[in-house]
Amino acid sequence: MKSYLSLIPISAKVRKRQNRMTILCIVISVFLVTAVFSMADMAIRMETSNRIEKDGSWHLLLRNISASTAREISRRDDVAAFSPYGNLNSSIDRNFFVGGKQAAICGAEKDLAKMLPGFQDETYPSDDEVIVSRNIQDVMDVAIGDFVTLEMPNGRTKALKIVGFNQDTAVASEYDALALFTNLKTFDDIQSQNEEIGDLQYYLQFKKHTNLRKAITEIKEQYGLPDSSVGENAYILAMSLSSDNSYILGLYMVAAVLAVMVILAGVFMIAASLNSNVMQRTSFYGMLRCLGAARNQVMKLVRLEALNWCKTAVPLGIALGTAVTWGLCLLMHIWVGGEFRALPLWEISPVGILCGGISGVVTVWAASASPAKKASKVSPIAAVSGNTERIPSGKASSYPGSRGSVDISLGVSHAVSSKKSLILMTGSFALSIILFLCFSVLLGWIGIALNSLKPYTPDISLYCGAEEEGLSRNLPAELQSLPGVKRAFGRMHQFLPAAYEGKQGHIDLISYDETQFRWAKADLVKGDLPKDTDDDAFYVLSVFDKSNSLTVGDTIKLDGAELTVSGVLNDSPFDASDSPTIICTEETFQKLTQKQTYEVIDIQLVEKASDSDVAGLRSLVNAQGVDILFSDRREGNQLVNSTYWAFTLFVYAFLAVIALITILNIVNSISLSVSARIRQYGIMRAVGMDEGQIMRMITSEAAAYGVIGLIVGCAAGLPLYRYLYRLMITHYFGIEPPIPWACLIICFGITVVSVCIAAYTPVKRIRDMAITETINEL
Amino acid sequence: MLTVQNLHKSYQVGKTEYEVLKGVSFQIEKGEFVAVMGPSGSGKTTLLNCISCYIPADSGSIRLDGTQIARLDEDALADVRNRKLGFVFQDFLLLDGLTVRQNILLPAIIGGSVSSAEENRADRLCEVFGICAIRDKYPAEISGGEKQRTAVARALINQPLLILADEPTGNLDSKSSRAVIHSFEQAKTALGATIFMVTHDSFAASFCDRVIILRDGLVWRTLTRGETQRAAFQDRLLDAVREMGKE
Repeated sequence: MKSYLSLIPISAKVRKRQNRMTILCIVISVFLVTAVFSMADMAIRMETSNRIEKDGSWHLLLRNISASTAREISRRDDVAAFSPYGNLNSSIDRNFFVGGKQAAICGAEKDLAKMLPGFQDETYPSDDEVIVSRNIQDVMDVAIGDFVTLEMPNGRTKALKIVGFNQDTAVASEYDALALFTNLKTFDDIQSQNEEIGDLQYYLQFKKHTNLRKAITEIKEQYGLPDSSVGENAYILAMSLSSDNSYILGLYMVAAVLAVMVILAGVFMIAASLNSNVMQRTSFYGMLRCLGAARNQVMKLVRLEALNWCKTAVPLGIALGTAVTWGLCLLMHIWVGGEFRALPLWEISPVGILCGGISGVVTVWAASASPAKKASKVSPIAAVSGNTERIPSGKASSYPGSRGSVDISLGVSHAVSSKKSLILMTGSFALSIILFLCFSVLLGWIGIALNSLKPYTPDISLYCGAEEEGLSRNLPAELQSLPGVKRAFGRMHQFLPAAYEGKQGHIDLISYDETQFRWAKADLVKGDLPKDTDDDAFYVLSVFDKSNSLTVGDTIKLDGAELTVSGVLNDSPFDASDSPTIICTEETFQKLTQKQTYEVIDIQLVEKASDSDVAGLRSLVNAQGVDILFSDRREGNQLVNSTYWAFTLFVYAFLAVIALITILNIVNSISLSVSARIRQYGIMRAVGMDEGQIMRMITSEAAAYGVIGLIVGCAAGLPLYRYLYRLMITHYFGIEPPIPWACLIICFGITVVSVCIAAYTPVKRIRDMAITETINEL
Repeated sequence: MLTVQNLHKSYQVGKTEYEVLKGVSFQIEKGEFVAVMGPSGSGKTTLLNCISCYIPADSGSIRLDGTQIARLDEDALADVRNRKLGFVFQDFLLLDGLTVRQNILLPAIIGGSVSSAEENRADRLCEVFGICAIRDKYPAEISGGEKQRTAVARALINQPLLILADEPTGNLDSKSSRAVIHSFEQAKTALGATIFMVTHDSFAASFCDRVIILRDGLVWRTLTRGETQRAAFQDRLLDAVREMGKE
């Protein structure tokens, strides 16, 4: 042993039991950061894979640029793939048909296959050849080499030879249409035959390791391209940390805030633990000072001792974090399914490991600063006298007096006697409560924002354009009688000019039947549901959103009628638009518009509905003789559902760990605090304090931390909760923040549990020790 | 070697001030073995704590080898404690995780210099105090007397000017006490150490060259052993204590 720093491993060996809790704190902190960042990494990999599969792997979509500019850009060194892209009938509003099904046509060069989903790189159509979306096989029995006939709006037809199938049929099936992919020459031919003129767009993919943000800025500046001409594949850019999309940046911000909070919780936990550890060892530090150790030597010793724990704790935390990440990925892969099947299994996250490791070391280093300072200030006299207690100031009120129960007074006095300990302990508690309250807003937001979880969410929707004749009012009943159909309901819709809030504009008037009104009741935030009246008064519901602040009692003037808002909904199945969404009964709708048919019919299927049930539905719809868009939304719903469950799982897991940290923290701190005062407890027992009193004393110390933490946490957390609620929910859905009773009860429960567990072990330890042992323990 | 002049020290408890040292003065020469005795509350431990610079004195001076140690800053004081002073504590304060030899070397390790010279000195100290056989053992494996002898050896490792001992026999049985006092004598004779010991024990004090008896914060009497036999010197000490009790 050549240096006093060699005391570190020796001390670690001797104080194994006492250091166990501190090491556990570091393990948890590292585990948490590793797990959070590893999961984020896995989620990014999953999202990248899903996005590439869904939107493609392109980075930029350039519009309104000349062919020469396009050529120049394509020659850049950092461009990996570049292709012009033209499309016809993408809105399914021209009459291009194949096999009686609407067909969207796109033309591009071979490079596009590298950037858009569903293609096989080696297959590229030559002239008069086509790659068709796989769903063509639902209507035609075709194979590679067969010819299909494209019926065009000009009445002519064109034979195209199938050279491949596009695997990506998600969009095609949602719009019940086929997607045809040809080369540019064939596309131009079809376009010119039909006198369709469309500008070409250009897809661009950069090479790996390109500084994407820099390259995009360069292209924009060099060719003077406005933002409107440069579309970004926001998710793919975000995955490579190159997006300036405000939503994505917001997500990063949330992740960063989460990480900071986790690290902060870790700092609190480890600092509290180290602080108690130092308090327990004042005699040791005092002895070192007696033997001539300078203050900075003691400080260095404490800080390096703390870092020494990282040698064991950090790898353990990383291993645990990685294992939990694997477990969560497996769980979501199997249980949640959907797009989460793309979650990588058994993969290591260098980002997670790095963040966990660095945060562990940094947290420990930061957390050890204050205890190290404290240790360095220990007087050498602490070694001589063995007195590790701070002498009370002498003020009668600060130490237990004759009034009240002496054990409880002593316990509270122990809790408040050291300001630093009190701040660390209550701070840790308060932080957990604040996190709980903030996360409850997030959970509330998910519940409200994800529509697929609503009772009105349809599995299949039938649309009929506003200019069409519409869907028969009897059709829902007919559909409902089919096997596999649970419920079918229709809505009428009319876009009407209206005057409201002193201005002229338009409203989206929508009809609801009884079932839909029953569902809407749950989303009613103000007023009542509208009722039909015999007079000329028309009552309607308004849907709250950012651009619609119509409230109960407001009136909307239509041509010859006046509508009165009887209630406000916070949510509806419809996308927000610039015009207020107004909902009325079917009878009111008919009186106002004279319209008799539905524009939309939503169908909900039974849980075990088969594909043949859906086929039966499709044939009934086709037999209506009206141009109906059949939209199968089951896949999308499942995706949203699985996202909800994954998100919920993640948030609850995070909260569970936060609760665990809080409990462990207080248990650890109380345990160390008791160890530091063990001699005092021994003396108290020696002079007649019984076990019950000892228990009450320690419990009241723990309870003091808990109660103060709860008060501080609620005082800081509730305003923050209200702020976040208003920002995330009230602003979009009009719901005022309720008092989060459930969350507060959970916080209270965790406090009580922590206090009970924290008191139990030390009390047991003291009870099991002989009085002489506690007096003599150093 | 050590000169203490007109030392005053008071404690404030609440609004009441207790003057513990009321102008203590004495001198210790190099190679002397001096004990401080006195009843509880006479100021023995406070005096030792002031000399050790654990607590500041209110007034007066403490000179160690000509240096006014009370005026030194924190780092210089740490250096004084490491190089010029050696400490022997009542509770031994040996580190459980270190062997006897490592415990002896600890002040040198803290001082940042563990050369072969220090290692040889540690071995010699083990020989002087008869603890060679246990030098690789841990404190938990040795007796109280052996622990205290180890503590004395540790106090000597940096060849300090003065060894300060606070009730070194307070926690020991008579056999171990005798062994510890013997080790102090050896330190004095074999190594030329200067020792300043606070004790209640007249038997331990009877081995000293001089005994300073404190009473109510003042030096009440100083007894010098000279050529007197130890037992006779102990009787003189006991007589003095009895006399003090009568006054």
